[in-house]
Amino acid sequence: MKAYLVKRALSLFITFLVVMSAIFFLARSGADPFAEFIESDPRIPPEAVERLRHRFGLDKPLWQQYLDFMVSMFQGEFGYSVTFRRPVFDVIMVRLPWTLMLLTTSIVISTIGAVFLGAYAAWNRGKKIDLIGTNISLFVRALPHFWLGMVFLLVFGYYYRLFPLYGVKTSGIEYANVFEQVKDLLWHLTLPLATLIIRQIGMYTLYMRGETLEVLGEDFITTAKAKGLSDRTVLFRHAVRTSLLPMVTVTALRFGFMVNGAILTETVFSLPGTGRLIYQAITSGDFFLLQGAFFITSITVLIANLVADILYSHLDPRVRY
Amino acid sequence: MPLLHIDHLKTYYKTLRGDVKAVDGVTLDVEKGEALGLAGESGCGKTTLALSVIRLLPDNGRIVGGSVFFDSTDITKLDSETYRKEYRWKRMSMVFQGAMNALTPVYRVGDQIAEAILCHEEVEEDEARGRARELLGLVGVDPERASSYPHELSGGMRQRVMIAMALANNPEFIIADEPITALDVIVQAQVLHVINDLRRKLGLTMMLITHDLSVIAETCDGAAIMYAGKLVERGTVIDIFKRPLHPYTQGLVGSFPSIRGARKEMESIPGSPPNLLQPPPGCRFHPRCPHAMDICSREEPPLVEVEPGHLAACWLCEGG
Repeated sequence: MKAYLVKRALSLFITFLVVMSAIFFLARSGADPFAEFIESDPRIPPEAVERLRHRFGLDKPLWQQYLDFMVSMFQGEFGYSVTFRRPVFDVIMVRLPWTLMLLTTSIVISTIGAVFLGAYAAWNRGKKIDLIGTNISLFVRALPHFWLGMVFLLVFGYYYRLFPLYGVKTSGIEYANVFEQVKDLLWHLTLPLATLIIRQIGMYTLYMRGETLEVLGEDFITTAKAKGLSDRTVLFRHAVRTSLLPMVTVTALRFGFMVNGAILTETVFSLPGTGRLIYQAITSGDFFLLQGAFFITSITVLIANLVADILYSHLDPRVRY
Repeated sequence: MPLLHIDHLKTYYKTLRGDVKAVDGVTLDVEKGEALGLAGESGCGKTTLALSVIRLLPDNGRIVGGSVFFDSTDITKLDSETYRKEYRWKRMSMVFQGAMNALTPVYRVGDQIAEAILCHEEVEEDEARGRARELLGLVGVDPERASSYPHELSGGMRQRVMIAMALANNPEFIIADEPITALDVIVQAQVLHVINDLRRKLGLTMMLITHDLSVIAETCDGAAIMYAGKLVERGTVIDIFKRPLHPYTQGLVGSFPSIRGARKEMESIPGSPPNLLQPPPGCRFHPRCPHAMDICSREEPPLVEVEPGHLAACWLCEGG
């Protein structure tokens, strides 16, 4: 186990270096945060922009910039956001909890939902309930979720006025107690969470159904049935428990996939998360911010993967490190 | 009344190209305490017959006719809950080909045996675990192995665990489906010895399914030969091996080498088994039979008792 962890940490570190290098070059391909300055305000003298470039180290050769970047990342120094005029780290830290909350809640709820629905559909393979469920899942999965989000906003936010149109809190409100605050937050997050959860349940119900079907064809399921166990015990204790294993890996990977989902969802619902921050950073060419945001995102994904691997070894006795 | 009486059982599989008549009108008795060997080529319906008895047919398989009487009760007529609670594993159990994948990979083998006990009996979990360990000892596996996972055991040990599991609720009747296939020869002998030993000790009635006639000769009292969904011959092991009546049985027995006998070319049966979607009319063996007569392709031979306890379905035997 210990040797495995060391090996694993090393490979994580290398992955991380590669990711960071990719981010560095990607961020710099074509984006210049100061170009916009000159265009928007012709009164800024070119010497001033040059001075700014010098201050941010952009006049150095690329390899020098790269080394500086790597060193400063490891020092936890993400630089200064040109658009927010604040240190990148501060900007991200204000936003990160929102995204993590959105991701974690929707992943947990949709995974539980998908496991039950998928297992149930697999058990009733070919019956009407399975056909209906599979078709609904396919339909939901094919919906663009930003579109789904906008429809939700239009119907439940605009026509019926059941939920707010944007943000995470009612503006100008004073909360009487924590309970009120949580209630207001949940009220704001209902539509974005519903959008994410519905889509993900659609995607992963199909996945879980496929995994369960495969396991249901195994000999040990016949043995379990032959023992006289009830259908529910056979399905959950033997089939689902075994088909959960690949679900663990997929769930971890979803943290990564979800970042882009969160960008769109956060943008549609105007939520103050890192997804939307990345979007803003790209559109304004603020690559210090972009680098920082990607840095945090990759760390999250890598940690999620490590957690999944460790979890896997606890769930599957065949896997021992 | 025999313990198990299979009466004109028909089990078909629904497929896109029509019904596969895997078991087509089989009548077979197993007496209490008897060990019956059921043999035949792959795909002749041996396993389907067993799965029909223990009611574990796959979704597309159905019993379309006939009955299965176990201890005078027609178990095909019981509703599935009653059958599951009262019969399956409690009165009859099945040893699957356990070398590969018959045990759930994520649970300890002792717990899997205990699960069967807890399912049918009102006992404490600790007691069930204790009994699981005893059962492992009974089949010659170190009881300490109860806390191993299936992948940590060898093929032979897994097969023994399977046997221990089948004995968990003291059943009267055990079906063993290819219990030693996929094991190496030494381990085959050991596992066979365990089965034999336990059968005598516990007075079990057993149906052993195999395509290996030598296993039947060594283990069983009676033998039944199936061909293309039909029972072609039934008798004692001596009957079948010394005086085979049906040409198919003769071919099957002739295709096994003898260690002590004279060295001779092994015979094989020409042709291949028929397609069970559209089995040939009359006797199903007639296209491959060296003694085929006119009547064989027209009418199906009935199963007749040629000598006491020795039955065959062949027009050659019909005249006596």
